[in-house]
Amino acid sequence: MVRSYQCPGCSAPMEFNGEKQKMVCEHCGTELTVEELEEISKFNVDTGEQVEGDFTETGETADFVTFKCSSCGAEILTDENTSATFCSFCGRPNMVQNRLTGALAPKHLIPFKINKQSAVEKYREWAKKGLFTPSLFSSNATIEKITGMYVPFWMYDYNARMNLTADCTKVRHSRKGDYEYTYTDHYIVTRDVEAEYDKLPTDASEKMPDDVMDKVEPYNYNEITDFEMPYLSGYYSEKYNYTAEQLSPRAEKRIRQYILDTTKSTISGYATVNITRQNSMLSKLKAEYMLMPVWILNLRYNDKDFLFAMNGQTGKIVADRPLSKGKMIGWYVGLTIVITAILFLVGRFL
Amino acid sequence: MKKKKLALSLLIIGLVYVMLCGYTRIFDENAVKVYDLAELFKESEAEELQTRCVSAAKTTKLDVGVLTVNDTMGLSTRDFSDAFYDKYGYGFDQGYSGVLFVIDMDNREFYINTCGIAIQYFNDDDIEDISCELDDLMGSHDYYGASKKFIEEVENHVHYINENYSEQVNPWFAENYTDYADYINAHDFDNSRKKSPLKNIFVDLGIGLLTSAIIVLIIASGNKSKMTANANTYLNNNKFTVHHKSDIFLRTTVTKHKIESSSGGGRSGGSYHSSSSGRSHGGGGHKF
Repeated sequence: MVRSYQCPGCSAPMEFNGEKQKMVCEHCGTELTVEELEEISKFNVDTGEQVEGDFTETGETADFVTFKCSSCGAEILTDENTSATFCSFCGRPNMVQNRLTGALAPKHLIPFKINKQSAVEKYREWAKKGLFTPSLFSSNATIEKITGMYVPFWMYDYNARMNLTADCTKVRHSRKGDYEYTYTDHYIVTRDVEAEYDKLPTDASEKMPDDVMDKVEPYNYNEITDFEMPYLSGYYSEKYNYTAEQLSPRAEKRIRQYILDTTKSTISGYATVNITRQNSMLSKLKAEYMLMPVWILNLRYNDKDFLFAMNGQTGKIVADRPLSKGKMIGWYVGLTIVITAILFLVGRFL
Repeated sequence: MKKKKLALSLLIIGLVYVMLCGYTRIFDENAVKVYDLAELFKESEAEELQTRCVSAAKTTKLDVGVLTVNDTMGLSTRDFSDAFYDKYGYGFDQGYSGVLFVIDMDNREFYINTCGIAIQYFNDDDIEDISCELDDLMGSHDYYGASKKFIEEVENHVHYINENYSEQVNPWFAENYTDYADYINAHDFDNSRKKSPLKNIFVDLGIGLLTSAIIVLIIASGNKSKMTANANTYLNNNKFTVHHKSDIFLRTTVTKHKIESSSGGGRSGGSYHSSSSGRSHGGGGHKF
């Protein structure tokens, strides 16, 4: 079943506006909070229809499902994970309800705070900053393709305990006559530290590259809200590809590193710390499914794909800036000439 | 036949000796070191100075001399003493190294003239210091006293330099330089004035290439995105416990090493000029 939200005033689609944190009608400007809209929508009839047959039945096209747009009836093609999208014909937002209810319902989400205009501006600033960024990246046409997406995450709570032994040294110096003496004090240091790490995010989408999603962190958890479908209106969204079990190894790898870092931070005052033995125990306390906002832009340059991602709440940009060889060489030659000239003149006049 | 062989070998030895004399300069104890043209010294004083000059030359390995003059024929003290030094053959090594103390009654100036390795031994500051030491004696017209003091200062100073800056002066004796300017150019001490400008450009270019490469690489690496979340981001501060903590002292190890006394790498040699005969001389003096 797909559904979309209609403006009670003019029946145009209502979308979630990150800046105002409300549902806004593009057409007449009506604003409603998510709760208000949910209340009203209870009395609306769902206009979406699913195509005959369950999606598991369609053999060869097992990865794709078609739905009928709730506004214009055109067929929308989605993959098996998409939970919110736009109709390619009329452009209206559509939410795939049965991918957002029951076991697949996220409990919470962080709503978009940065709307498309801000995202475009921030992106433009970022593209300008790079000295070696090819000028293609600042063109308007490419920037407009930026899309807002709710990425599914598993948020883990872990308890970790570490036992660690290390050889540490403290160093002192003193001088007597013509000799310098170095005193090295050797210590044996042990630590037993227990810590809990809450809401460690791990992206559950196969499509989104893990390292990019990791760098989009951290999100401000103060703005975690209860999930309501209207928030998704106007954005793409996916349900999770991997279960919490499947992603645990990735989460545990990070937790292991964290407990080591936390334990190491309790050792201080030494010149050198050399860990001889370490042992950690982890236990998973909780795993929660949450949707997090991300602005995404995909660019191709020199046969290479560049993924630009922005944290949809904090605005933190994650991207490897592409390097234009031409610009790099230009700067290199210029700098060389300038530095050589300066050194030469200085040598002359001193 | 035997007589002929003897005569021949003697001749050969004699020739060799003469040849060697021509190529090496030998310190002649009997050469005159003190020229008192202005007649400022008594005979006994002049003899005393001569003795002292000879012994100083033996200890310092620099030729030491004293000159007094009434009429410098229109030349400055410096130019006159340069010419005198060169003409009267001071200096007994390849570079004609030596110091000459000059009392010029014409220009009322006393001057310390250096040549060869002595220019390295006595830089401008050293000559200034010694001149200051002699000001009082010269001011009170104690020419004999000033000359004696001069010789003393030379010996002390050379000894000091040999103790502390030996690497800057020793090589001279082993190498083939006949002029201080050549020696300096080969050893690139601080006071070398003539560097080829062409060499400089290549050095500058090399530095320029390297520096801009570093700068460009740093800027390029700044284009990579970074991970900003760490353990503290997700650490629950209320659930953090240190169950056990111990820091136990085991032992202390000690190492020692000798501190190298800095042998004044920054010490520069004296400034120098070319005399009329083309040789490099250094030196300086005061009016009195």
